[in-house]
Amino acid sequence: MHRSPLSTFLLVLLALLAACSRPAPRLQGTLERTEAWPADFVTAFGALPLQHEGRVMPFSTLAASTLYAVHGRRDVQFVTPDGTGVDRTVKLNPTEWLLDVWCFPEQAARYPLFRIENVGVLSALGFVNEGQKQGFEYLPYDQLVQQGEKLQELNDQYEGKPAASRSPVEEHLVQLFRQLVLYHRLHQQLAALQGEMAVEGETLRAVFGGAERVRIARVLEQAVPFRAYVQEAGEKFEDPKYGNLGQVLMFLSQAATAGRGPLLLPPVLPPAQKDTWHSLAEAIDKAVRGGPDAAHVKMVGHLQDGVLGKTMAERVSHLEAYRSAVDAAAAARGEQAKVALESYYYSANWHFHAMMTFVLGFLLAVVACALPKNRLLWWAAMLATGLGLALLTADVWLRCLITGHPPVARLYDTFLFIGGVAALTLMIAEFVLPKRIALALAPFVGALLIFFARLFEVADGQDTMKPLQAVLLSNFWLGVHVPTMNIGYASGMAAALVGMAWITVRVLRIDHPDSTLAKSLARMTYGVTCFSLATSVVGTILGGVWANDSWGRFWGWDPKENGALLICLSQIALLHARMSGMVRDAGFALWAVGTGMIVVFSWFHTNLLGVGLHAYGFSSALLTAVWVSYVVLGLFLVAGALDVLLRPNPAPLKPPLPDLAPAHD
Amino acid sequence: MTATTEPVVAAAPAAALQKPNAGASVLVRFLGSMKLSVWLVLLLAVLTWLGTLAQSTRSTYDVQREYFESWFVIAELPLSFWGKALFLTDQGQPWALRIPLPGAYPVMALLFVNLIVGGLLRMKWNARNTGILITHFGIAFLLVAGFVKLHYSYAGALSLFETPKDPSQVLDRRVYQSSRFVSFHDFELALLVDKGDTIEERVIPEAQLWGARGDGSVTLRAEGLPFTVQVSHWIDNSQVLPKGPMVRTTMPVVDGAFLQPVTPQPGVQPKSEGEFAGCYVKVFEGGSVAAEGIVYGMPRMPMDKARYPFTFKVKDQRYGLDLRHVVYDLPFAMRLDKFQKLDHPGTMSPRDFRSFVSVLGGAADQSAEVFMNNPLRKDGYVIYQTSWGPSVGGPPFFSVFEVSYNPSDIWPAVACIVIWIGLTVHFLLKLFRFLHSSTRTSLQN
Repeated sequence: MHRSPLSTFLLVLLALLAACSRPAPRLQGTLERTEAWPADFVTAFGALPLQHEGRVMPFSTLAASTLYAVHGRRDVQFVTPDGTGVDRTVKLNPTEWLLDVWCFPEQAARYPLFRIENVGVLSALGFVNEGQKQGFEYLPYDQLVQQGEKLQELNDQYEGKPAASRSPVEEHLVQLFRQLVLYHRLHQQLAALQGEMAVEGETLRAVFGGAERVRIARVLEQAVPFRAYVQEAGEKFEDPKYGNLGQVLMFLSQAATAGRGPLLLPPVLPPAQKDTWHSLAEAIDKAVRGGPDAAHVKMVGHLQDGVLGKTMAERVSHLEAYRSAVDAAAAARGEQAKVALESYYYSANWHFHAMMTFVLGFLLAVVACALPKNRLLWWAAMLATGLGLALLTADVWLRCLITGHPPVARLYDTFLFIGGVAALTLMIAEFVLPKRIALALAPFVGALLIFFARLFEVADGQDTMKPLQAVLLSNFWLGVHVPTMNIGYASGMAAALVGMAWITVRVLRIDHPDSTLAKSLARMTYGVTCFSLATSVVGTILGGVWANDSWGRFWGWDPKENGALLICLSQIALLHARMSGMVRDAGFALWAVGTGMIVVFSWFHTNLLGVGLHAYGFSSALLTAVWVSYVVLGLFLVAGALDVLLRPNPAPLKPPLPDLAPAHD
Repeated sequence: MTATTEPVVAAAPAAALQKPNAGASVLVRFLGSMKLSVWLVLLLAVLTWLGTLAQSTRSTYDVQREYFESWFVIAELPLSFWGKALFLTDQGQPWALRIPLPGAYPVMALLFVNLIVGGLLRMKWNARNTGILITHFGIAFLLVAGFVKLHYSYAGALSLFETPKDPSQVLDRRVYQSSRFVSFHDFELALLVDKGDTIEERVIPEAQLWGARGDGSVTLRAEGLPFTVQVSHWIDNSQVLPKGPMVRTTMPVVDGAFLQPVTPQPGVQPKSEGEFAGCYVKVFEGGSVAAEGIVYGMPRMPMDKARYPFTFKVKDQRYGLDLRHVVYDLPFAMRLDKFQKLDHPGTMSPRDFRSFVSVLGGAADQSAEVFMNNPLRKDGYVIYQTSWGPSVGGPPFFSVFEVSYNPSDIWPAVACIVIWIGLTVHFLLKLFRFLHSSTRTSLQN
């Protein structure tokens, strides 16, 4: 049976996906939470405002970024028996997962969370190898924390080494320690609320209305009489007359000095007065030392009732009350609107829809290439790509509204922006010379870069909207230099892609180098390179002008500056070489692919050198991506160069056979 | 005389007449050739790439000097794949290929000549080339700006403490205002003569003391001075250490201390931030040693304006030797009235830091705010907000400014506009012509 190349490709892809997919890991023990969190509540609670790492963000963002950082995925999946003993797969989204961490900490501690990708890591930590091979394994917190000291020791040993010279196991151990610390902080965040204190002694119980056990929220409510009681006890708090006051004070002291984490209590003073977000620890400390804010006491009460609720309905009701109170306080100070928008942004997931639309556009374009006379398919592919671009633009626009910054301010932003600009550039090229190659390349590059953005988000494991450092807080320069430079990157990549298409056409004998297809691709490569040069040169000089205003020098030969200059120099040399006849179509296409490698160097590799004013930190995942890009581009370069060297004069195109005509003789 | 030579010239054979012109013509054609442009730009690209890679193991300052401001360089290319070195030296360091290349300075100089000759003078000045001529003019102007910056600019640091609002809080030792700033990386050795109420200074730049590196020495003498000073063991980046019983050193020990070289950290920029020069000095009077000591380029800090030079007496006159960063005078004084630092909420990461300063010395004091991306420009000097201190313990804070004198300060911005106009005109014209050309029509079919 004859099978088309496209269907063969799809079958192979499906087979690969099936081979890579793994069954969800099994949960140790049984579930404490027997009911699912109600979907409406999860959506609403995901929009709870809190302050973390310098900005107010929704609960769902904190949950997602932490989950990416420690788990490397956007959800937690595990297999556990249901009520009838039959295995079922449970899948938790980030909000559900963090709710479990805070409300069902013992259950959450058993979730298969920490991804181990190297069996050497398990051995280094002293875990018995139970047949694990090289691949993904997930360790729960309660197991990993038992090896916490050993892990810290190994981290101390390897952290001092430059990241680039660590072995894969050493790098993994350093990252694992960071993940453990990150999760541990969050796990302990509500530890003070997750239990009740035993109260002994009649006089002490009297302070709390005779209760034998009290929650910390109750202590905050009774802060004034409790403080009077403590003052009365003075130094004699260990005296049996004061019951177990010493133990209670010790508990409160520990709760009041708990480590840093997200701030859960919003400013409650009127907007005209200066006020900040507060941690739970601060509220407890304030209660013991002075008077806590009544609004905060209520919020803590709702939160603790939610955490300790007996039934799901009770929990949901109290947590919803807590969320409403925080929401109202944040709204009073104008901090809620952006949180709601951000919550919408993540739930709408426009860039994912854009990626899928680009994939559709690509598939339509591939079919359009196979049916070159079909104009409808051309328009369908163009419309799908245009729709993908519109969705991506909406995504970037929303990010601008949320962060208050121009479209490119962080490394993550560059993927989306460059993907969009490269797709647009190729769409314009297709309009100018409709040969259906740029029609396929435009959605391909758009989808690929959104896919990379998603990979980067998970690998980086950080908030993608984190606040900027002081030098970058200039919307004028962020809005002028950075987008211009990134348009240069995008069009440089687009030129490289068209160059790769030219090489493919020649190497695979799809058409003769003198055919209109090859000539059109050569023209496109030239045109896109010209556009890239104009934006790269202006962007690079604008960067110098910004540096002159920020750091007092126009040019410092910093790696990032050099990377931008390299793009300009390569393209200037290329255009002059073409004008002087040093290169023709083949040389131009190969050189454009080489310039693509320089774009990768400038875009990412310069950040990974760990020096200069643009070093954002080393990432082994990013380094791998950079080298994969070099290898792919390099393979095209080598294949094209070999073909040009070994077959400098391809056989001329065969003239088309004359049409059949009726014989008259 | 003119009358006698004219016939001779007129009688000369045509080939002989054209010979010198032909030679000049070949030279002009070579200097203005587009192929030369391509090779020079590629050479600059290779230097830029190698200079970038070199920064992963060496300081940016060193690389800048060696690759980009030099006439010749032995460039190093560490051979690596996937971030790992392919070969290691005996010391376990990545092995690097050593490539002799001209430095970026002559390459850019030749490129400038090539641009002027080929891209401006020899190019046809017609409407078709308007955009490219404007662009070439902009790039030439940018290169000139770079040349002026390299040779005629200087920069340094100025650190000031916040002036207390309450005069009783003012401390004599602190620097609240100043009309001087110090170089980031250039040192000078100052000979101080105690004149009672005043101090007379004679300075010698560090470049004249580099002969004292390693085993060398430099002897300083001046008319009217009854002694000579021998400088030895000059170290660009040094620290002074006490010589304990367990410490071994090959350096001379003076008064229980010695100078030790410090290995620079990769990527440290600029050099002065963590690197301080030092040397040994011997004062000779009539052939015998009158005094011996170590001088060390200790930094100036705003919390203590006093300097602690090496002092000695010759013929009852008190002298001092102070190794210090080169001091520049400003035509005005600047006072720090207030420093403000705002962090991103809940973090220690600064969102904004700015200095409220008064510029003193004109007809009236001038107030200004200096913060990131908002420098103060005054009398040809530009003052930038750089950093602050102390990192813990403030307020009160001190603020650190960079002061720069650069005659070509805004030239790059002008060049950028010119280049932008040129490229836009050129490429839009090309696109327009292509869209209406028969080439496009033939390619579409």
